[in-house]
Amino acid sequence: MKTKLTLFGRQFDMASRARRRKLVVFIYLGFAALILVGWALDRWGVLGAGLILFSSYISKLILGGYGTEGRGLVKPFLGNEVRARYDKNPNSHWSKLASITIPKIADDPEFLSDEREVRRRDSAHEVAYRGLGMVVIVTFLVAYLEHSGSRLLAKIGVILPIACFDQLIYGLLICLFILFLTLPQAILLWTEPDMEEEPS
Amino acid sequence: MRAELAFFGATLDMAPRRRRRTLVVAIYAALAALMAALWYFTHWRGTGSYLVWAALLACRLFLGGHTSRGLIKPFNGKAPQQPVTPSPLLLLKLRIYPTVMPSDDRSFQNDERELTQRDRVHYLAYQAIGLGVIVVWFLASLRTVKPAMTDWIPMPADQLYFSLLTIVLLLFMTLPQAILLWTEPDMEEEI
Repeated sequence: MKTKLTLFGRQFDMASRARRRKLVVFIYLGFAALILVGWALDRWGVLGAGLILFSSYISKLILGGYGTEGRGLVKPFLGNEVRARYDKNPNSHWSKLASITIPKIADDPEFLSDEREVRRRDSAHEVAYRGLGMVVIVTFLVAYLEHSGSRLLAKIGVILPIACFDQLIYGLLICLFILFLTLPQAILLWTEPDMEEEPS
Repeated sequence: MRAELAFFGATLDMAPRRRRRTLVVAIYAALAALMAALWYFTHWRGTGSYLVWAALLACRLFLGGHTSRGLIKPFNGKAPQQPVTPSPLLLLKLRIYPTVMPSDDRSFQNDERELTQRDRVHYLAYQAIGLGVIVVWFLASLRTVKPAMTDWIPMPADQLYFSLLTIVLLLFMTLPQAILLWTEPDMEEEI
């Protein structure tokens, strides 16, 4: 993990855990606000897709992790795998394309994760897997209620508002997508202890 | 991971990777067959939950991970909840007050290597679950933004969401264990 976040040309010191935690809270509050605004404006119609694109951009720009550009605080999760394939045959078409599209592929400290970082990455994914799974279960239960429960309830006179259920499921899918893109990095930023300053 | 699988009183040797792979294929084939049968008869309406119960049963009997039984030790490393003494009320009635000694059985606990393996397979399974979520979100997004583009899907929205989410849930419940069983090399016989 990097100690400095470069954002629009400015550098922010992120060595302290307290700062990283504030950043995580700020990002998720921002996502929550955008989800509410998207609902209020067009019931997540076009804005739902825009929200995913925006969260993907924020994830790459600030959090890092997914994506191979090497921006953001967390090193690329796939850095070692991509580099290994690149080193295998640097003259192949794939490697040439990778060197053009991934400028930092040859920058070892920026792109490669050491053994401890790989271990931390996997551990964060284990925790994130459970978190994502909880939201999958909730979404499944809502879909189950709409699909199978609505007919049973209709027999006893309870009519469920099906359109609301569709929108609720869509909203939960948006949350799932955002969590999938951001949760492991957020867990890493949240749990990693205070870091020492990198020598300049 | 355990080298032996206790199944209805019989003990099956699961040390060779080939056997574990056969088991994984058999479990997913059985789940797929159940899915197809339930879809043919009811379109999973009212019976979709049977698939979840089937996956839970597969975890309990064969895979483990979320339960204390099965080939994979519990991911959370917690001891199985099994009462080792009779109910305290019964003991009071019989005026027996035994000293309960903590169990020495640590077979449910993962060692350092197993924890590393567990985290690694969750990293891989996370990508698969994420891809599943992306597929469901993409179709739901098309339905919401441009419904005409999903006319080729021959089922109503509620059925589509429920079917895809059921598959994602089944994968969530079974995939890390399946990857572990599939990738772990042949184990040495336990002494």
